[in-house]
Amino acid sequence: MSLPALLQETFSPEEVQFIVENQKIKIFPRITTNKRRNLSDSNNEGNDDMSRWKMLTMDGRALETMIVMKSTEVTLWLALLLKQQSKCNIIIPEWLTVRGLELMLQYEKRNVDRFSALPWDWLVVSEILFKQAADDFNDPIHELRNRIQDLKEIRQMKVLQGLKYLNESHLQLDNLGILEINELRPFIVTVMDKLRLIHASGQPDEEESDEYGEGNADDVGMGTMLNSDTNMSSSSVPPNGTML
Amino acid sequence: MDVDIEDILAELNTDSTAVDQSGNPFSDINNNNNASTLYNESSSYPETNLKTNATSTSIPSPQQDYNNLIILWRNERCAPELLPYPHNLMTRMLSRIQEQMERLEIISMDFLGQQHSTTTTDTTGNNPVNNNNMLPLLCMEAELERIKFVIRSFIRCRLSKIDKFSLYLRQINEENESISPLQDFLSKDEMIYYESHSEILLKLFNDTILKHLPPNMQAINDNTGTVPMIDEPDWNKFVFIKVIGPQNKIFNTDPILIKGDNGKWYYEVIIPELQERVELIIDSIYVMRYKVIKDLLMEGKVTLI
Repeated sequence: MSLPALLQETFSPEEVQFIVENQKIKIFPRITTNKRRNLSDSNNEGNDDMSRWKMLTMDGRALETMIVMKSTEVTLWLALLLKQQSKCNIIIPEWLTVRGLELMLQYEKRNVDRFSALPWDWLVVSEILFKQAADDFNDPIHELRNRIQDLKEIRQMKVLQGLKYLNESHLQLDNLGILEINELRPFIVTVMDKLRLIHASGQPDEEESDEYGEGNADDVGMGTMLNSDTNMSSSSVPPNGTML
Repeated sequence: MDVDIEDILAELNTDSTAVDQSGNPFSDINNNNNASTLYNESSSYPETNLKTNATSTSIPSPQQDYNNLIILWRNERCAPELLPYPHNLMTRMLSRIQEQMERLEIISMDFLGQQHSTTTTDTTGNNPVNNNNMLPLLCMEAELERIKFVIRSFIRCRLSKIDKFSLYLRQINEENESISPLQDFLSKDEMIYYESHSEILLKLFNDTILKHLPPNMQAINDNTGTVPMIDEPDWNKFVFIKVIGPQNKIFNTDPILIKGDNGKWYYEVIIPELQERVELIIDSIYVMRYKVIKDLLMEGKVTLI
C-alpha cells in the first residue's frame, strides 16, 4: 500500500537514474560565480545572500568558486541543471569515447566469462549524456550509441548464459552495472530462493524446521511436511491477504 | 496512505521548527549555532546503524549525511526485514531541510522586494542578469526536492514493512523487551502508526473470525508443537550486496578482514545450511542469503544494491 508491489521487488528505472545522478562529473562552467560574488558583496548585504550557494548534499565551495572554462567537479544532476540553463559544458568521461568503448568491446569479446570494467553506472550515464549533452561529445553520437548497444547486447548474452549456473548457495557478479543488476534482480532472486527451498527440503528435517517456519500454515498437519509449499502460498493466506 | 506520510513528515518538520525558534531564524550565525547544539545533544547516544566516521565526536558533514541516507534508503528497500531507524541522521537531515526552506523563503522574498519588474519569479527570465542571480535559488530548490524524495521513499518503504510485519514486531517486542526495544527501531511517529495499525488489525481478526471459533483456537499465534502462525521476515532471502570494507578504508584495522594470497582483502562468511565458506572480496558484488551478511550490513561493511 505505502510502497507499490512493483517497487518492493526492485528499483524503478527512474529511481536508478536518481541514484546515478548523485555521482560526480566534471564540467566546464560558462559563468564565473567567484567574481560576481565579490562584486555583490561590495554592493549590499541582501545581494550577497541571494548569490550564496548553501547546498545540503555537496560542498558548496565548488559552486561558489566557479570560473569560466576552469574545470570543476559537481554532481551529475546539478551539471544537467546548469547545462539546461546553458551555464556549463559537461566533460565527457574518458570511457565514453569511441576509443574507450572499443577497448571495452575487445575485452568483452576476448573474455567470454568476464565483464569488462565499465563504470557501474555506464548504461545510465551514457543514456543521460546522449540525451542532454549531445553537443559536448567530440565523437559522433551515433557511433557511440552503436558501441553502447553492442556492449549491452554482448553483456546481456553473457548474463543469459550465466543463468544456468544459478544455484542455492551464492553468486559473484563483478563489474555488472546498476541497471543490469536492477533488471535481473527479480528473476535471479526468485529462482535462487526457489532453489534454496528445493535444496532445503532434501535435507534432514531438524535443520530446516525453524528456518522455514515462517509460512503461516493454515493446516497444521501439512506445515511440517511441505515447507516449501506453505511458503509459496503464504501470500494468498490471511493475515497477509486481507490487509495487503 | 499518502496522508500518513505527509503527516509524519509534517510533524517531524514542525518538531524541528520548535527547536529553531529559540534563535533568530533570520540570522545565519544564530541558526548555525543552534543547529550545532542540536547535533551535540543527539550525538550523546551512539548511532547504532551506520558508523559515519571514525571520530564519533565530530558532526558528520551534510554531504556525508546525505550519502549515508542514500545508502540506508537502498538498504531498506532491498532488505527483507525492517532495519533500525537512524534517529540521529534523520534529526539532522530534517532540521537542515527546515533551515534550508526558511533560507529559500527569505531569498525569494528578497527577490520580490527588490525587483519591480513583472518577470520576477520567472526563472527563465529574459533578463540574463536576473537569470544568473536566480541560479543558486534554482539549484537549491532542486536539491531540496531531491532530499525530500529520498526521505519520503525511505519512510514509505518503512511503513510498508511495518504493515507487513506488525504482528511480528509485536511478538518480538513482547518476547524480549530488553534486547531491542521498538522505540529504538522505529521513530516516534512510526511508533504511533505501528501501534494503531496493529490494534486495528488485531481487532479485525478478532471480529471477523477468531471470536466465532472455539475458545481454544482463538490465539493469534497458535504454535503448540507446530509452525508459528506469524509471518517473519524471510531471513534467507537472497540479496545483492556490494562489499565496501571498513568505513575508514584502513584494511589492517578491521580484525575480521583477511588478506588473501593474491593480495585481495576479503571477509569470510559461512552459509550454515550448506556448510560452505565464501570469501567476500572488497569491491565485489555478490548475491547472498540475507542472514549470512546481516552482521556485516549492520556494521556498514557491505551495502545492499
